[in-house]
Amino acid sequence: MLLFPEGAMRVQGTGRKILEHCDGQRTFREIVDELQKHYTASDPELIRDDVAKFLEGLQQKRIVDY
Amino acid sequence: MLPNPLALIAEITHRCPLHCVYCSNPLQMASAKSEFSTEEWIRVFEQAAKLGVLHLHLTGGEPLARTDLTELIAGAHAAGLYINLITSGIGLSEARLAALVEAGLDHIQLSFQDSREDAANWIAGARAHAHKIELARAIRKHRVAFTVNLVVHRQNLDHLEEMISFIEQLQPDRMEIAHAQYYGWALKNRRMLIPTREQLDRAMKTVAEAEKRLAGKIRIDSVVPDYYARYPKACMGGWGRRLILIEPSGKALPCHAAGIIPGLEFDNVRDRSLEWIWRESPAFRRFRGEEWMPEPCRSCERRTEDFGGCRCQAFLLTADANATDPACSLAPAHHVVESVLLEVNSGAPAISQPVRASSLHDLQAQTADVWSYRMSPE
Repeated sequence: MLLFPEGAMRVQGTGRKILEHCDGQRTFREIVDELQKHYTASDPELIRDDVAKFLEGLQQKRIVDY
Repeated sequence: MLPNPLALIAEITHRCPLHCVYCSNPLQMASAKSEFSTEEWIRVFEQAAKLGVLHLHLTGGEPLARTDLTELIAGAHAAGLYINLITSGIGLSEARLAALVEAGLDHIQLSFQDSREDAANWIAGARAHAHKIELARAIRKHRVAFTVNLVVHRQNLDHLEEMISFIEQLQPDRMEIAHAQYYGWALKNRRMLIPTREQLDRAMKTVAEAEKRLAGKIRIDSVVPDYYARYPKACMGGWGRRLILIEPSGKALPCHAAGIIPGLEFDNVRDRSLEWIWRESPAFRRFRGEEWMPEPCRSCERRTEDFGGCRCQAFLLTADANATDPACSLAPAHHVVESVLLEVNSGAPAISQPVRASSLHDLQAQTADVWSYRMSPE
């Protein structure tokens, strides 16, 4: 469960995996690198685009900062 | 099946150093002597977390008036709750702020009354504005989510753009622009607070433009005044559906204002478990679901969206808590709201100039025919 001001969001599957990598230390590139190593069956470009889209969506809502 | 409550609103004290004329606290407040102890509050927070509550909103009155606030936050944090402090900032030094964050505070919601110092202090009935600005700067140095809350009404809406720019400079993550809601002191002062239709239309445009301009930078949430809406607000997300409010002496209510509804008895968390209160207590079951609904709500398609509106507003405006919320354009008593709007929109409604005073007493004397300031309990 992701908690933020006045809201909560259930995050599962890959979304959860992405957020688990967001620790305030890793850069976007490092997060993508690690996820590309983890999900070897998927197109690395697609992984990068999906992670970017997911995090941008949360950033627009001011839930994630980077 | 009955869902779990999502949030607990803890009014930990009704004491407050501010006297805001738009305060929605009840006119009859809990005394300082009757307030719950530290241990009693922490027990409630633990019960809430077990019941599935995610968010804890610490409010009041001014929660900082409790000297044990750091312990309360530490207790709620240990219970696993996401903690929001709703505050005027009065009583918060940089050192105390650091201690609250250290104890586990997740989100701080700081109120501002205006962008202009004289107007802000006039609305609040206290010299608070300068301290709030200082505090906002200090908050940004900490890892805590930051919301600035601004209550808008007829007296400040004409410079909403200026107020939004002012808030922008405080760099919050989120800004809440809330039209005053007419309960408690705000209802008493409604005559001076309710906006004109023209002000409201302009405000909606201004907020929409700001949302666009600040997208990704500051999230804006706005609360519209329901008197001007076509349908009523889904008050508290429906009676006994999402929220529990505990007032300072431990009484559990489905909303801030429910205490005014005659015939309802509110159980105290001293005598009953929070779970029993949520599931079984007569007060929480009274307007839950659709059984209680009159027409036109009962057969209305929107009954699952707005739940018949606000029970307290129905009682305040029609003397019948079972009535359809008069804010609804379909309500038999909608004429009550219409006549209030007619009055404010015909002629030139009063806009006052900020008054400077040497003391609250002096301020009250100078504004006696304008409005009443919120008073703290004994």
